Amino acid sequence: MNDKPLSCNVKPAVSPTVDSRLGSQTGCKIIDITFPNVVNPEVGEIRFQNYYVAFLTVKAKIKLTEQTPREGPNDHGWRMVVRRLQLMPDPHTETGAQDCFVITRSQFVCELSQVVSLRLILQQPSPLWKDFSLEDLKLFKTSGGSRVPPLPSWFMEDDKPKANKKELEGVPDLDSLSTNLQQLWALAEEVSANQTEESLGRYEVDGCYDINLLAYS
Amino acid sequence: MGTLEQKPDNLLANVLCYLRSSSLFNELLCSAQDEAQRTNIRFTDLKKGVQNGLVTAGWDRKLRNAIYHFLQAQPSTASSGVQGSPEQIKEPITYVRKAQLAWEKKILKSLNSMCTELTIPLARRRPEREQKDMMVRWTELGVDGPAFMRGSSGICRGIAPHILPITFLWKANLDLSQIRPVYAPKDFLDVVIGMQNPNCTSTGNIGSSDYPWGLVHVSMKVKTLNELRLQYSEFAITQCQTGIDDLPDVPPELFDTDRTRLGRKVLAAKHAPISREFSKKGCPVSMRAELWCHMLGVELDNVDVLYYEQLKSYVLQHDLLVDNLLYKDVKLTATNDDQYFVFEDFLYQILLPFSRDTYILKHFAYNSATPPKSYIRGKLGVEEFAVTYPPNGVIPFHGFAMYVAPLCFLYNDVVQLYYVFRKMYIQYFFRLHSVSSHPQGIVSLSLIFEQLLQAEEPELFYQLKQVGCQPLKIAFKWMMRAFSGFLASDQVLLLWDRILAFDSLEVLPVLAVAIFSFRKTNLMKVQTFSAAEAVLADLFTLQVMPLLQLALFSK
Repeated sequence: MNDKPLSCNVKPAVSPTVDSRLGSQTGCKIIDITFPNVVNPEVGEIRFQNYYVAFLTVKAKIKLTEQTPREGPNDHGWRMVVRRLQLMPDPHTETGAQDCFVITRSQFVCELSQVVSLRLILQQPSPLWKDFSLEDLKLFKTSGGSRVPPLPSWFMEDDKPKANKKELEGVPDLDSLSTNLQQLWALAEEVSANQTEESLGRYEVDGCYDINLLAYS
Repeated sequence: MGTLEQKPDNLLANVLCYLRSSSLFNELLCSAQDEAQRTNIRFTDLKKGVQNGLVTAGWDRKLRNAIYHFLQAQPSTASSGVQGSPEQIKEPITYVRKAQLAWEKKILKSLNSMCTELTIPLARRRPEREQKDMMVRWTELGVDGPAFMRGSSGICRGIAPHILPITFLWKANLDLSQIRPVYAPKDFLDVVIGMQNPNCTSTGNIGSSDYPWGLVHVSMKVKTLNELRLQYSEFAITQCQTGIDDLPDVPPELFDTDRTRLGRKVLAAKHAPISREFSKKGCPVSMRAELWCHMLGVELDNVDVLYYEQLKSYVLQHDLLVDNLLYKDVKLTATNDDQYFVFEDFLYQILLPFSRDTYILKHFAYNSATPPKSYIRGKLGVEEFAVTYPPNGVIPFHGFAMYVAPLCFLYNDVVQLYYVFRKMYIQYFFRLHSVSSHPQGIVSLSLIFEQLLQAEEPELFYQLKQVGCQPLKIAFKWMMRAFSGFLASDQVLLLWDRILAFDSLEVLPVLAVAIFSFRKTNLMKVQTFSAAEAVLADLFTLQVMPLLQLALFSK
C-alpha cells in the first residue's frame, strides 16, 4: 500500500484493424506501457478499475541477455504474463463491468523483471457496449499485502529473573516499578487495540437535535 | 489489498479482529478462567481441560454461530477478492450510483418542501410535559397517535386543554391529513425503469428484435430458470413441505410427526446453519419464532433490553417529522388491514425506536443508499454539527410498516420483535428500496421477474404488453413490500421462511411469476391496465408453496 506506483508511460488504447477503414467494433484493444525512466523495471502488481473489459491478456517484452532461456530461434523476448483473465463473468451483463482489480505476482505466468514494455490486450466480445477500457491503471514493483502487525516483543516475553541491584531507601524498586508501568501500558495498548465496535447510539450533538431542513450534499 | 483469490490468513485476521472486539470474547475469557480454576483439572492437561469445559458449557456453539454470522455479513466483494473504495463497495457501477443519488436528492427535496409548506421542523425537542404524557401512553400510541400533539380536534387525554403549552396550540391546526408519504412503490418503479447505461448501445435503436419487452433496460447477470431450480431444489414437488403437508387434513404420520421431531432436535442444537437447512422446507408454526432467531443470530441479553429502553427514551426526547410519516403509514396500511389492525400499537413501539437507532447506520457500508444529512439549527455548514436525519438514516416510504406487521404474529415481546425486525431490515429489506446492481437488489429482482415471465409465459407477457399493461407495474409493489399485506399473513410467513433459509430474496420474483401464471386464463382476456389490476387485486386466497412449485417445476 505504501509504495509508490512505478513511473511509466501508458499509451492510449489502439484498436487493431486489418483495414484501417474498418470501424471501431473489433472487440479488441491494445494498450502499450513503456518505462522510459526506470532502470530494470520490475512489476509485481497491476491495479486498475475495469470499464467493460471482459478479458484481459498481459504480455511483456523482456530484455534478452545471455542467460535468458530462449523460446525458439525467433524469440524477440515476448512473454505471456496473464492469459485471458476473465474480468466480467458474463460479457453481456453489467456484473463486474466497473470493479476494481488487483493482479499480483501469484497470478503471473512468469516473473516480470528486466521488462522493456508491457502490452495489455483488452477484449470485449459483446457488441452491447459502446466503449471499453481500463481506468486508473497503475503498476507497482512489489505486491503489497495487508500484513497483520506482529505483537510487540515485550508483550510476548516472560518476566526474566532480575539481577541484584543496589537498593535505595525510600524509593520503590525501580525495576518492579517499570515492569508494572510496562504492564499497565501493555494493558492500555491492548484495550485501545481492541476498541469495541459497539457505539453508544448517540445521534444528537451536545444533546441538541433540533433540525429545520435537510442538507443537499 | 486482496488478490483475486481470497487470502485465507487475511480472512482469519478479520475474523479474529471481529471476535476480539465483541463481547463474546470477554465472556469466553471469563468462562475459560472459571474452567481453569476447577479443582478437577490437572495442570498438565490444563489446555485440554479448559477446551473440553468450554465445549460442554456450549461455548463452541456460540463461537461457531458468531463466526457464521460474521462471515455472512461480509460484503460479496470481499469474497471475490476484488477491492475498491468504500464508494465502490456500496455500488460499483457508476450510473447506478448516480441514479440512486438523484433519487435520494428527490426524496430530500420532497421532505424539505413538506416541512416548508406545513411550517414544521424536521426535529424538535419535546417539552417535559409532552414527554411524560407520551411515556404514559407508550403502549397505546395508536389511540390518539400524533393527533394528540398535532390534532385538529384539540382533545387530549389526561391534560385539560386550557393548560396546553403554546406550542401545541399553534400546531393544532396541523393534522395528519396534511402529511403525505414521501414516496410510494410507483414512484420508485419510475426510477428503476428510467435507469439506462450510457455505455450501452442497444437501447431500442438497433432493431425491433433487440428491443426488450420488459421495462427494465439494464442488463444485470441474473439467475435463469434452471439456476433457480437448482437453488430451490428443496421445493421439488416430490418433497414434503411445511405449509402444505402438515395441514390438518393430511394424516400426521405421513410428514408432520417426523418433521416436529426433527424440528425439536434442530431447536436444541441452536446452530444457525442447521436451522437454515431445516427451514428450507418451511418452519412449523410453533417453532418459527425460535428458528428465525437462530437464523438471524438474534440472542437477547440484558444489554439489548437496555438499549431498546434507551431508544425509547430517545423517542420521548425528540419529536421527528419521520414519526408523522410512520404514523401516517401505519394508519394507511396496517390499520386498514383486517389481519394487522390489532397490532397498531405494537407497530409504533417498533417503528419509532427503529428511526432512532444509529446501529442501522452501519448497513450503509454495503447499501448503495446514503443517509440524509442535516445540521443542527443555526449551525448550517459547520461539520461538527452535522447529523444524520432521521438518526437511523432510513426515510420510510408508503408501506414501510408492512415489513414489521407479519412479525407481530411471531413475537409478543416487543424487544425481541424489535431486534428480529432490525436484523431482517439490515440483512434483506433495505435491498427492496434502494437502487443497486446487487444480485439481490430490487433492480435484479425486477429483471428476474421479467425474464422469467417472458420465458415461462411468452404469450401472456406479449398480450399484457400489447394492451399497455406491463406486468412489472403490478408486480413491483408486491416485491418491494416482500408480499406483506398482499398475501394472507400465514402465507407471508411461509414465504419469509424461505427468504431466511435460502438467504436470498430471489424467491420474490419467482412467486410473482407464479401468480401471473396462475391467473393466466383471466389475464389473457383483459384489455386495460385496470382490468389486469383487478384480476390481481385479491391474492389472499393464494397458497405460496404450491405456486412456487408450479412456477419452478411444472414445465
